[in-house]
Formats: sequence, structure tokens, C-alpha cells
Amino acid sequence: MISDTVVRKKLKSFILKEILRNPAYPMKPDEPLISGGLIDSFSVVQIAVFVEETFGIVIPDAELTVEDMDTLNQMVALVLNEKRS
Amino acid sequence: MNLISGHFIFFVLAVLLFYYAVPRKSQNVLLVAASYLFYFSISLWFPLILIVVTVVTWLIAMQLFLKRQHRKTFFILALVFNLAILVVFKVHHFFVPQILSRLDMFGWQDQTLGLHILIPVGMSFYILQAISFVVDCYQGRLASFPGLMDFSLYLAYFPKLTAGPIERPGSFLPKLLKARTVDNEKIAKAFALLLIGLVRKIVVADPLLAAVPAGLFQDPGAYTAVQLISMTLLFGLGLYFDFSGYTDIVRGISGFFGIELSPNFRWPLFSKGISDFWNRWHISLSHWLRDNIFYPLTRMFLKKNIRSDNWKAVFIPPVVTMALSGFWHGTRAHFLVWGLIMGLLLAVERLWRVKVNPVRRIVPGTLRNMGSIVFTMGLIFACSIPFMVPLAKIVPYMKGVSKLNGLHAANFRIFVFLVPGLLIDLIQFRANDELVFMKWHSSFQAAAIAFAVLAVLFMSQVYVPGAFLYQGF
Repeated sequence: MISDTVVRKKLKSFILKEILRNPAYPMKPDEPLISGGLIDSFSVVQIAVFVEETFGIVIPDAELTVEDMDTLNQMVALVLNEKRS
Repeated sequence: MNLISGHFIFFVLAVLLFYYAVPRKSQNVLLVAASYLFYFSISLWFPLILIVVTVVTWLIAMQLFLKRQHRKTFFILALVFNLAILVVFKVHHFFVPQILSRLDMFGWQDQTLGLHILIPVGMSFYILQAISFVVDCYQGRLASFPGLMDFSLYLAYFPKLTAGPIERPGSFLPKLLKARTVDNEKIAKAFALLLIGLVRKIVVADPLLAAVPAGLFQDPGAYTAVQLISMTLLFGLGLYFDFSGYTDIVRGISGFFGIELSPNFRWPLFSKGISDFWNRWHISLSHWLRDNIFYPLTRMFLKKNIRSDNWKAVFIPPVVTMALSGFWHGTRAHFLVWGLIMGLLLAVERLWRVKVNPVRRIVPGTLRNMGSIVFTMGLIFACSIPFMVPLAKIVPYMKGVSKLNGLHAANFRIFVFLVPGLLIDLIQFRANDELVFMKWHSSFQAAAIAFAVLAVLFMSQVYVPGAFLYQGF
């Protein structure tokens, strides 16, 4: 069973390095990333593919929405929920 | 039956009367009957195609939902069936008579086809919803399978039948099953949306569209550069207020039945980028295309290489997605060219996000935002010219524009009709709330309502309300 901490650390690292390309960016757990204009639809799919490759969890296209993936907290919750189900 | 007509008002009132008189269990049946009656009032044979699409899609989807074998075969069968119908009518089409004359004014009438088949109003919208339903069944996203009556209502529900919004089955079908509460707050919200929509349509869109010369896009050589630019701008803005007005009106009407429809616009005139624009303009279509074309394609390319500089993933999905959006709007070449240009713009914007983002670092926030909005809207407008101008007329059109003449011949007074529309958008955008007006002090609300109602009544006497342009797609 993967923990909240592991998922959070890996997701944050991927977003900062690969998507924002700024490892020093002080991203907050509840910072709106999609609605705040920091990441776009392409990046959302990158995160979905990263989750699939790293945790073996497929996030369906229908769940790649601003309602489900706007913040790091929401993404972590989505991964943990999918893992449980 | 035009949505802006006494007949339609009478129709809605009659349906509402019966709707609240019958038991809850019969309300959906009543709405299906009313929706088909509404559709029959447009054409006698349009509903027959809708019935075929409904029954066949429902039967195949039921196999998908219930069986574990041959699911892929049923899935492909349902997709091919729906897409074949759409393609047949899109390729061989003529618009409905009441819209034909309106679109013909702008040179959108197809003159090249030998086989003249009338494209059923609303087909482009309900076919996409049928496909969404099939995809959801295939991917196992529906908690329960709807009965034929509920599924019929999902496709045929009359407020959204002719031009959307394109509703997702996962969000719309549950609304048909649960109890509906229509309280004072919901009725007030429905009235507010209805009034805002009427202002957008009658006070803003109709005067703007009426000011655009009938042959502007067919004979651009007859106009000066300033006339071409200003009238094309008027047409683009008229199209926006026409379609957003339609959406507000049908959402308001649906609110009286206790069924909430999705918003289709989030103030696209304030977009700060191309992808931002497509998240604000015709949202239900943009999201359909994103979920069913862009996401699967991007995922496919990123699985081979997840990096941000995977050029295939950056370029191919947006170009294919927007080209299909062009096809959805029409099969003529200029729509396809428009789609390809929009796809390329999205890809270039993504490239820019990956490689450089200097403005974000050096320009203060407010200035950057204003600059982004002006730049985005200029780009969107310029690149939408192929959407409005037939391909054969693009060269004469651009030649006319390049002359930079005719300032004296331009009529800028017509732009005054934009003021109420822009004001509504600005107030809503700043509050990030389409119903911000309902939070105003009651005296301001009363004044705004009185002013809006008078403006609608006055302008409906000056300009004959035209058919909604997007019903032609």
C-alpha cells in the first residue's frame, strides 16, 4: 500500500521538474495549478501518464478535470482513491 | 418554432403547466413528448431520425453495459453507426429554411452539392451526446443503465435539442432520476439567466448581425479595408453574443423545470491565451473534443515519451482535434483550414510554454494580463477569418484589407450596441460569477431588471429577432 507521503513527494517532484521546469518553485499543496494557469491540458495528461507508470494506476480521461486535479492535494487524493478502488 | 417567438413562449408555459400537474414519475415522459412535439414543429421527419438514433444507440449500449463478450465489437458498431449518420448529413446538407437565409447573407450556404439533404437541426449536438453515452458504457463509467425513456430525454430534451449545451451522460442522466426541487431561489436564477440571454440576443447580437452587409464575405472587393475589418469584427462579436445569449436563454428555461444545464461560455473575450480561450468558448463542445479526441491521442504519444518536448505529442493531438472541430462546424474547406490553424496555434502556445516564458518574469501582473487579453483576442480574431470567409474569397478579402482605405465609409456608431454586452461580461468576469447581479442591492437589481426588460422590448420592435446562428451547425 502506497502512502500519502510517497505519492505526494513523487508527484510534486515530477510537476516541479518536468512540468514547471523550476524545482525551486514554492508550490503549495492547495495551490490551484490548472485554474491558476500554471499547468494546461497537455500537462494534465503528462501527470496521468506519470501516475500510470509510477503507481500502476490508470486515471480515466473523464477524471482529468479541474474539479479532480486542480491542486496537489486533489491529485494525491485521486491517486489514493483509485488505488483503493 | 423559433425560440424567440410568441409560439415558443406559449409552448413553454403549456408544458410547465402540465409538468407541475402530473406526478413526478410522469414528468420525464411528459418532457419527452413535449420535446418531440417541439421537434415536429420544426420538421416532420427530423424526429424520425432522432428516434432511430435513440433506439439503435440505446440497444447497442445495453449490450455494452450488460455483456462481457464482444464489447469491442458493439462499441465500434455504435460509434460507426452514429458517426456514419453525422458524416452522411454533414457531407450532403443544406441548412433549415429559417436559418438558410440568415447564413446565406454571410456566404455560408453550400452551393456545390448535387444531393440536397436537409441536415436535421440539432443533429450535430445529439450525435455527440449519443457517442459520449456509448463511450461511458464501454468504459464502465455509468453506475446504472438508463431506461429508454430517460435516454430519449437525454438526447431530445427540448431546451438543449437544437444547439446544446452538449451534456455528459454522467452528469445529466442522474439529474433525470433524482427528485427535483424548484424553489424561489432557482426560479429567480432561471429568470436572471433568461433575461441576460435575451439582452445578449435581442439588444446586442441582432443589431450587430443586422449591420453586417449581406454580401460582405461573398464579394469583399466591394468594400473598403476599414469596412471589411470592422464588419468582420462585428460579425464575430455578433456570433458570440448570439450563441451565448441562446445558451443563457435555454439554461434559464430549463431552470424552470428544475433541470440545470451546463454553461457554455466563461467570458471568452477575456481569455489570456489560446488554450484559455478554448476553455471559455463553447465549453461543452471543447470539453467533448478534449475528452474524446485530445486526451486519448496525447496519452498515446506521451506513453512512448513522457517529456514535455515530445514534439509528436505537442503537435499532432491539438491539430487533429481542432481539424475535427472544423469538420463538425461544416465540411467546406474553409472550416477545415480554420481548424488546422487553431490546432497549430494551440501547439505553438504549448511549445512556447515549454521553451520560453519571459513575459511572466519581467512584466507586472496587471499589465501582463491586459496585454495577454489584447494579444489573444487579436490573434483569435485574425485566425478566425477563414471560419467566416469562404476559401475562394480569402485572397480578395485579404487584398481588400491590405488597402488600408475607407475610414470615411465606416459606420462606427453601430459599435455602441456592444456596450451592454461588454458591460455584462465585464461585471460577470470581475466577480467570476454569472449571477453576480442577484447579489446587488435590491434597488439596483430592480433598476437593472427594468432597464433590461425595456431594452429587450424596445429592440425586439426595432429588429426582428433572427434565428440563432449555431442552430445551423
